[in-house]
Amino acid sequence: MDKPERLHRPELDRDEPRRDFMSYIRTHGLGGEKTAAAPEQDDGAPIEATVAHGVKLGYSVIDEQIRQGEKLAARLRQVSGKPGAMPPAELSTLIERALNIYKDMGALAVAAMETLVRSPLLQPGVTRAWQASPDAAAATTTGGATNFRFELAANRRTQVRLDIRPQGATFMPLVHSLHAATPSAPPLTAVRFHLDPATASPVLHLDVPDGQPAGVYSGVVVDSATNEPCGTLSVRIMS
Amino acid sequence: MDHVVAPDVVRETLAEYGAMTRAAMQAYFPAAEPGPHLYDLLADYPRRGGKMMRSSLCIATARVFGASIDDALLSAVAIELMHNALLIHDDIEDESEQRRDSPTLHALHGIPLALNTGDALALLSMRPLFDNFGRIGPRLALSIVRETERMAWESAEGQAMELGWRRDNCHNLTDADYLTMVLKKTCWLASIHPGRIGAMIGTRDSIDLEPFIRFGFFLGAAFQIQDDLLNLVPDETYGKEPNGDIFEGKRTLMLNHVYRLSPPPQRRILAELLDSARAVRTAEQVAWIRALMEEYGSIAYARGIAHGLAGAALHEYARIFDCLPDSRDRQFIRGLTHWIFHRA
Repeated sequence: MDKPERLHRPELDRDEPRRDFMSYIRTHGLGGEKTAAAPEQDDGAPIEATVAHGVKLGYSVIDEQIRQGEKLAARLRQVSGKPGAMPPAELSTLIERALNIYKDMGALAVAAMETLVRSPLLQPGVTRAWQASPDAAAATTTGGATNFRFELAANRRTQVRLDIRPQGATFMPLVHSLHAATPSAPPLTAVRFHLDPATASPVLHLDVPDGQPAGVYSGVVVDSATNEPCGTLSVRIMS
Repeated sequence: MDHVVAPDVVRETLAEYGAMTRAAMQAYFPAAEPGPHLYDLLADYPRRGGKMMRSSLCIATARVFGASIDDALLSAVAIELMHNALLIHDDIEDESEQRRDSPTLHALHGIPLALNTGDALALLSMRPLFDNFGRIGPRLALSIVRETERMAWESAEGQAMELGWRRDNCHNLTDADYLTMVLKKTCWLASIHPGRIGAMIGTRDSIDLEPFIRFGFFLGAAFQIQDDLLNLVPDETYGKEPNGDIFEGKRTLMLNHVYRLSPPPQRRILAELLDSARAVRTAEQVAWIRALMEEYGSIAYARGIAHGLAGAALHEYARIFDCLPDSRDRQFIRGLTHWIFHRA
């Protein structure tokens, strides 16, 4: 009786784990079925070894680059971190730059406010925003002095200062007369607020007589509707 | 966990973000004189298409971190403009003949006009960065300008390395030399910079940017090696002349590999061939070098390195993005590590 042929295990198509998923996908497709023969490298090195070499090489290159960058940064930090390490010339340049930045920011803020106040397109929105919040309204009325028009008739140099607290949208101010500190000086009586129908905003009109003694004249501004004080008006007449 | 492969997400996202970037970029091309000598030329390369990978990566990274597309769009435009500016100069320096299926700009208009157009396009790329000041605020916009300056320096250093190797006829280059050059020349603009800018916009400049160097390097290096491999395959969809890199004597992984494995007499011939000017290099000589690449397994070797780098990119991706919510943008970024092997 013939001896039956000895059974052999089939040859394994691999004897190592698959560590490179890209090669796996390339050869097996997304579903895991093998789609093509695995590429073999002509110089005999297994493809996994090349992949591993690539990863190792890549990390050594990038780690070296980052290490160099860190060394450079540390050296720069060391110089800038030491007390007194910065030369005085550099320090003054730094201060000058900081001041310039603040100046630029200030100019920018003023320009922004100007744009807001002057732009006819933006004004209704700005007014609505101010009316919506009492805090915002406070800012308006102080800055809102720009909303008052001044009509001044004087032959001498005269300064006018109007400080006014927040009021409602229909506010109409009233001032009776402005008095000097010295009782002998006659009061300034030609002063009044009237409404400009074109803009629907109050206009302060002031006449300074030629014989009016020099000095500071001030008076209380009241809400014409309630007679509640709401600010002050002062006028400095130069000699 | 994200799906391993997301080619549709990549294609769709590239199409969507690419179209947005192109539309926004259009506004930066002035219709002015001298049109035929400058402004018409400025828009030539951008209008030829392109994959828009860089701009899309920037937008997607910003979105992954929570920013709006609009916040990232100007930076994406700047990246594309700078990319196209460098392409014009690269084509002159490499004496390339084709770009995106058409003759290169200097082949069409001559080197002086092309050079000037490249300069103007690089300058134009600053405009959206200045417009960023109004859009995302001066502090962040200034940081992006600084990042852009760094990227430009890295790119210039990488280009200098490669051009210097060719001028000085350097042959004994290691793979580490090649990868260092690619890190600077390709990866910074292609993947490191867009990722870092996107993350800065998304986090309002409050994130450690170092991991983006690692991720961008591995992704960009795998991308570049695949690009070098595609150059060896005659394919109409690729857009450049086949074997153009061998004609130009580019020190690719494959060429370095061939040189290392060649016996000394063959090395001498290779060195002489590479030392000659491009114009005198013949198609037969190029075909001979190409055949050596097959013979020594240089193509499989480079492909293996590229796959290893793509795997490392996935690992670095996980370190950055795995803690973030899943989204189409996140899938897109991950999908890029696979897409680079399947693009034309």
